[in-house]
Amino acid sequence: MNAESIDFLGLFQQHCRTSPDAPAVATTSIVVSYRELEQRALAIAARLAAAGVGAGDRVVLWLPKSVTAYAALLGLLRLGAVYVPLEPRTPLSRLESALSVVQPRALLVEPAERQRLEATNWGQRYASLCVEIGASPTGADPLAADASALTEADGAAWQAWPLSAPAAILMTSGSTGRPKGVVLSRGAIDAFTQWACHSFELGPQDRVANFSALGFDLSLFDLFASWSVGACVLLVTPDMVLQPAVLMSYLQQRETTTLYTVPSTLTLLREHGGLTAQTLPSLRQVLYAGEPFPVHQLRALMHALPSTPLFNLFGPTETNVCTYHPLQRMVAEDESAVPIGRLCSHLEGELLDEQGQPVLPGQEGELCIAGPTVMQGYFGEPERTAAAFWPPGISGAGPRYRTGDFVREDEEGVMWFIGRRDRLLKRRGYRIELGDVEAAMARLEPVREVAVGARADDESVEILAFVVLREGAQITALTLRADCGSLLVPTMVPDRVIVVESLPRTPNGKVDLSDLLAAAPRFR
Amino acid sequence: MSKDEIRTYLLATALRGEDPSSLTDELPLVVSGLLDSVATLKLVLFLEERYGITIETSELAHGALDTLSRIVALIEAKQAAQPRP
Repeated sequence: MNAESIDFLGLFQQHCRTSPDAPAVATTSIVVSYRELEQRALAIAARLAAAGVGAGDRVVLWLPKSVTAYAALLGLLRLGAVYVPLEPRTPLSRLESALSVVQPRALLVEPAERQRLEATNWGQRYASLCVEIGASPTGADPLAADASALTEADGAAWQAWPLSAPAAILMTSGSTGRPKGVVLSRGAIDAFTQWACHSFELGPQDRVANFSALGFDLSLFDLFASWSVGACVLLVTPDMVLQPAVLMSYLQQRETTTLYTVPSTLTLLREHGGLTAQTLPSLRQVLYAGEPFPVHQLRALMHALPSTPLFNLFGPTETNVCTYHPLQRMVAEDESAVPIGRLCSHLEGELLDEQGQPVLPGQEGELCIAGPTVMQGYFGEPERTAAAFWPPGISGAGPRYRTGDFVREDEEGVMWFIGRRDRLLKRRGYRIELGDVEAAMARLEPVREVAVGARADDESVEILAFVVLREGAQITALTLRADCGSLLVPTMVPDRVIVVESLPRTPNGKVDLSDLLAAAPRFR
Repeated sequence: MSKDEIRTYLLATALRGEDPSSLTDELPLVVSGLLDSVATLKLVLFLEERYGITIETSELAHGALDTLSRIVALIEAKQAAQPRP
């Protein structure tokens, strides 16, 4: 067997055999070896197989990020199943729409979540599909004891599934309020991890902090790239980010080599955790993605880490990283942004106009790409999938995924992000369709009409919701915002709700928010 | 009284520009998304510094900061548990 034919799971398995005692995961309190992680994964696989889960089945992972969740993810891939990670704090109404999209064969949940599900009308039919796993974010897992349920021979089958088989469905915000499930094949994850390991020279000595939720494509780097080279994943839970000083001492103590997260988290670590080259001497590189890095904050980070390589990674969930840019010099104060860089080596792509024709050099166009990391499609939605691609021939090449990102290429062949084709924005790594926020808010009882707009400055993106209330509705703007929390994940909740008499419209009846957005007071 | 101070702090920071009367004692602040992670972190730093207490990660996970009245209860419990100098 030559090196090319071993996929990321086969490589994980090799490390389990050749260096079983090497650390695969570390938390604040425990270290889990490759042998233990594999055993836990196999134990969960056995448990799921007993529950009837097999190859191709979709299984929702509704667990807090934990060693158990990591093992479950591996266990699912071992079975040939498709993992669908959902945030544990997902509001129930969003959970319902995600479940109706993916129609899972089983749900991996904690007992408390199962009870929450059973308490709803629609949740009853999913409750019977629940497989309960008690996951403590840092502690040992009771399942580890049954790990001998599967034998070494079973372990040899980690790579039993073709690269064309689906491996994961990552849920993203959809413009109509119905989430989209991005289907990634094993081959897509494999091609991405190969590129990542090579580009960032990951090796068994690396300790990679996993900040990202499992439902974000950033986690594919943290987990699968690390495990395919025998590196150690450092579990970072969302609550740890709220205590940057404690988090920093953990990263220090575990000798973190690689950070990959969103700019706002890096700024938190620097401002409130004291991140510098001196406080984290083991650090050898920082990767960021998910939102633009405000230039003055980026400069401050570069001052704190003067000789640490920094990379800007760019791309939607549908493609994972498509361009990246190493920051080779200090960014000047008067620069408004840094480039998104060059296309990754495993991709091909062009900047196309609205007819799917290549733009002239130096002009802006939509970044359209093809390659092994591009998604298979949106689960169960052939029409949405078809609309996301230029068919073969139009661009003079094979089919191209339309990223929706308008980009310009400079004389050196380096790309710069200009803006979006649609009403999608990214904030703290979350993708937000403004139409999704509108659809959710329209369901609130006091709301007669709602239009949502975004306003960006160098610092951040603000989401503003303009609401026309039903007659006699007694509710304040702040309470309306708080009510959004039952329908939307926190990052999607508007920064401000503004009650208006009516929504301004263009002569042809389209809502036009430009005047309202410009007139709304700024508070940050 | 600490409740008024915290209310004033929130209306001057994360909830700037909001109608003060709509910030009730029971308004959910964190689960609702009204305070994002940065605003929550800054609130924790403010409370720790102002009241000389330490707030644990596990307390955040259990919603101890979710409403004004819960924040006040947390501070009072912590202050009561501290030995007086």
